[in-house]
Amino acid sequence: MSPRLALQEKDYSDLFPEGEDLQRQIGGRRRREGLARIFFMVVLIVAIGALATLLYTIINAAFGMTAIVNTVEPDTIVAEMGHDPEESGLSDLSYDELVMVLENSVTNNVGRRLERDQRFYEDRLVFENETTWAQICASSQAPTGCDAAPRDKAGVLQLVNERVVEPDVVETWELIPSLLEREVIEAEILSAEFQAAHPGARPEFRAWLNWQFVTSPQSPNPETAGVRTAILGSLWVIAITVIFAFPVGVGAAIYLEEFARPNRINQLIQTNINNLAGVPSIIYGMLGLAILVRVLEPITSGSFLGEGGSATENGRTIISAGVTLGLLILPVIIIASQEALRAVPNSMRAAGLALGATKWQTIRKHILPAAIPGVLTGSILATARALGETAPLVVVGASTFIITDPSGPFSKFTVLPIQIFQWTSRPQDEFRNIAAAAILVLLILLVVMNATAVFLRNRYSRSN
Amino acid sequence: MMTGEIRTTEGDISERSRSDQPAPTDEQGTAAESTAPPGVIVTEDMSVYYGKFRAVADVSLSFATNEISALIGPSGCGKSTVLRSLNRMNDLVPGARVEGSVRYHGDEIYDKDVDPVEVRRKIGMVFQKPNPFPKSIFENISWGARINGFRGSKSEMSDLVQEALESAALWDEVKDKLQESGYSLSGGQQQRLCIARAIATKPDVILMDEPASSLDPIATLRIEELMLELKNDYSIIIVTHNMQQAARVSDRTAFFNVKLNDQGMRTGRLVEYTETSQLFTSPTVQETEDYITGRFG
Amino acid sequence: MTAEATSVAVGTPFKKRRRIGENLIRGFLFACGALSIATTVGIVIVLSQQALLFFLDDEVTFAEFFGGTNWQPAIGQFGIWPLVLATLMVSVIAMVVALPLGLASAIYLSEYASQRVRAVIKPILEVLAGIPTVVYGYFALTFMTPLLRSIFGVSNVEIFNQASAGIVVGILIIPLISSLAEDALHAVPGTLREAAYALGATRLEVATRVVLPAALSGISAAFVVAISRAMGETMVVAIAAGASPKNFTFGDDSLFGYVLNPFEAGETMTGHIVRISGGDVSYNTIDYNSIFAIGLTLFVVTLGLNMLSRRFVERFREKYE
Repeated sequence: MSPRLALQEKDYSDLFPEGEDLQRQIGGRRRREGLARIFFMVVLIVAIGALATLLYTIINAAFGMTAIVNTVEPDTIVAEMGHDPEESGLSDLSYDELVMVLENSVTNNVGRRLERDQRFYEDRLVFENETTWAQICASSQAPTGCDAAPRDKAGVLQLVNERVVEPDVVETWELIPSLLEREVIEAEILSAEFQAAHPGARPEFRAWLNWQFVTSPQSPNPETAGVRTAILGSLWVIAITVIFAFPVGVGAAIYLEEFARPNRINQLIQTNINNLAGVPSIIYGMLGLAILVRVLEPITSGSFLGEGGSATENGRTIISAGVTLGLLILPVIIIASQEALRAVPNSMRAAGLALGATKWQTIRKHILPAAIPGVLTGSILATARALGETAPLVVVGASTFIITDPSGPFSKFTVLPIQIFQWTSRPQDEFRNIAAAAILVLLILLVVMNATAVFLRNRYSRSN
Repeated sequence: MMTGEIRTTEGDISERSRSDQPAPTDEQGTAAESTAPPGVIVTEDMSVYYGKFRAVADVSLSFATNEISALIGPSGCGKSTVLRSLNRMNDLVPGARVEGSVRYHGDEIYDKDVDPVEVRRKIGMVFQKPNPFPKSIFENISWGARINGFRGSKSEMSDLVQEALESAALWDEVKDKLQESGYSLSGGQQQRLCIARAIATKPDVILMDEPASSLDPIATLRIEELMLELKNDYSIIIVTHNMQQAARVSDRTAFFNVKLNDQGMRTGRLVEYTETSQLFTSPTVQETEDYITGRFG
Repeated sequence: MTAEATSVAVGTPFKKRRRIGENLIRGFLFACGALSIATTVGIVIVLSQQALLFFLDDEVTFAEFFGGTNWQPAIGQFGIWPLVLATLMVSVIAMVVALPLGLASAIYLSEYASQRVRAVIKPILEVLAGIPTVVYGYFALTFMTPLLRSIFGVSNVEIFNQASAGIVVGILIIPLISSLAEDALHAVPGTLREAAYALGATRLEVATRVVLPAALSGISAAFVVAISRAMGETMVVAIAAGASPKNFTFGDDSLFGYVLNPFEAGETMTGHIVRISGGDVSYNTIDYNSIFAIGLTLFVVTLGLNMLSRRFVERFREKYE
């Protein structure tokens, strides 16, 4: 034995627990382990619970019983038009019939105002006479109806609802109570005191999210408002965003991964992109406001193309919104595409160059196709995020109230998240309901986009 | 002829009687079928399964106290699996299952009431690639002791750390820099740190899974010297793919081999286990001879 | 000789042409990359320029902006502290919710969960992360606020309050912390875990006394990123936290009853920007410029936090490479 190890004489056995002490010590440690597991379960329950509660809250508000008072019942209108109310509803009437209903019901003044906002027919006027119309359209204060496309059936149906039926939802109930206690609620609505307070109230189960909701334009009236304007606005804005951000983003990623030498400038670019990814989205809105809306107004308002002429023409258009969001998601697309390119094995690059192809040819024919699934997945997810963005577009200047569908990149716009924001901010109960319905529409769109991304990722990773 | 039976000679039995193991039946002259467990760890018909796959089958071995036992064999023969079963490290692999018996000082370690934490404190392990914690040298050593309930004062802990480092032949090199990170040491030093770390929980068996295979020859030599010193106080079981190493350091060597069974599964089996000098000069089984003469592997 | 001359003559213009195309493409790609620099430059210029106009206005001084506790543009008061305080209040509450839950979730996923459990939990977290913030705002207003009011009493909790927004922002951030922290934990080599188990440690001890300390700088980076995200959050606070700055005066207003009371309403920096720019605001007014001053402050703070987190990540990478 070497002298060093003589120290081993010291007995440490009393310093470590043995026997019963040992069992107790181990028992204590295992108990702590058990507590930790319980804590983890709690955490997971909270996370899942939060998601479940969120969805529950929304779905609960988007469907339910209502007590509704109609000035004129839709069935009466249907009958007046010569149809059997048992078989058809208001939405089964033809376009012409609906216009006729309006003609019969609203005053001329109101009718003229409606027509000036948006015409009913391309070829003839309903409330206005031709000469007056020509005059006001020639003047400098020409109303929107002079240029805009005529109304469609969903729009006129909404008008009939608003102006003739005039539904007034006096009370709403949430979904779960509506399903479980339907008779109780119905009895309450039909009770004497309720009828005294709201004469003519009828119980009606209402799906606030329905086809009419999706196809009707915006309206200040929660009972008849729809999200069509917002959905189309969102689609237009996202289209511009993708057209701008996808090529630029993928291009930047290709540059950084395939061409850039590790010098100062390129490192600066890379750091810069990482920083930009963390900038709050509202800052991008301010950038868009100051530069796209204000400085570049001649371009973004479309006036350089001779568009507009209306006094309200300015840079708060779809193209400003689209480019702003494009700048917002650009860093995300770049980083995701970089990762996809990095995942392509180097042997492919070497092989391409060895065969005599130029760098770009190798990239175009071999590297990029291999990286496309990852690039697409990342881009779709980034676009989905853009779809849900609100703050930057509020700053850029979404219109608080527009009823006409956007017709091009230079139109005023509103988007679905902003519509939700506006409705949520109103105090009346019914706005709560349609906000929830709009949220469901947004979530459905997002689910579709994300599912596409996941599907692409799985499909291509399997074939690889 | 390919059995897992323990082959002993007269000389071995007398050596064994020097150990502090009780010999309940006092039948010193008999061969392996004595009822008293003759070694510090004894396996009996042990098989290890990963799910449906039988990695190693019917291993019966007795590891003697204060000796170095080596497990050798071609890759895939299950020697690492056997080693890891001795301190229940296989429990960490989902789907792993051990059948048969593994006794430590006579107690079955796979018993339902036995907490693997207990087992691993007494049967330490050193790994192929040195893996010190990203903590200070001092903390690397004290961590294991504290986890296992060390009740001493600060000075007693310092003594424990010093003693562990001395046993691992590392004290002189690090005594002035105990607060530096374990990563600041060279590969060989790190491995000795890991040995010191294992020793600090006061085990009496140390398992080593190819402890020197990632080290250069000089560091390897130091580890081997260390092993020979350590066996005076500990029982050491090593896995090595280096036959010469086994020949240099071990007292007893077990040779494992892969067998293909009729379902096409590759299962490891113990071929021969005997004194090292005998295994390498006059092995009893033909397979062993083929392996050590390099005809396969 | 002629043959050589032709082959050279044919060779050279051919090569040149391809190179021009390559260079053009390369130039285009570089421009794409450089656009990001233009974006940052644009942000800095825009914010600074308008903020400068703001500070140059007679009504405003630096001292008042950074030190004042009243934001009332109508009477010429531009102290930023009410907005900053609300931002901090919401962020702190959010972190109190998100830190423990996010970190615990990361530890569980990284050290405990089986493949099957992970396959269920990770998608749920991804869904939580993908829900637009305006939906969370709706949730805060229609569920969390009534919940808080029923727990703490209707008179104690205002309809718009910072606690409700803060808790929901916290929920929003949990997936972020969870995924970043999990990456950090995952990067710790498995051999360290093995060594700890071999010394007789339980799973909890391995997770909290070896893996967690080893991943500390990565986890710190995750926390810092989360704080930055909480401070930049806009829609939840715009909907649920309050629509007017909570002006206060030291000494006059009770500290814990009013100024630091989370159940009071309070407009954050981001909420204020959204409200003002969503209304009628004409260019070059002091109101217009003021939102850029606030925006600049926010930008500088979040940028600082993000750079700090990157420093942590570098330290983390150094350790394992």
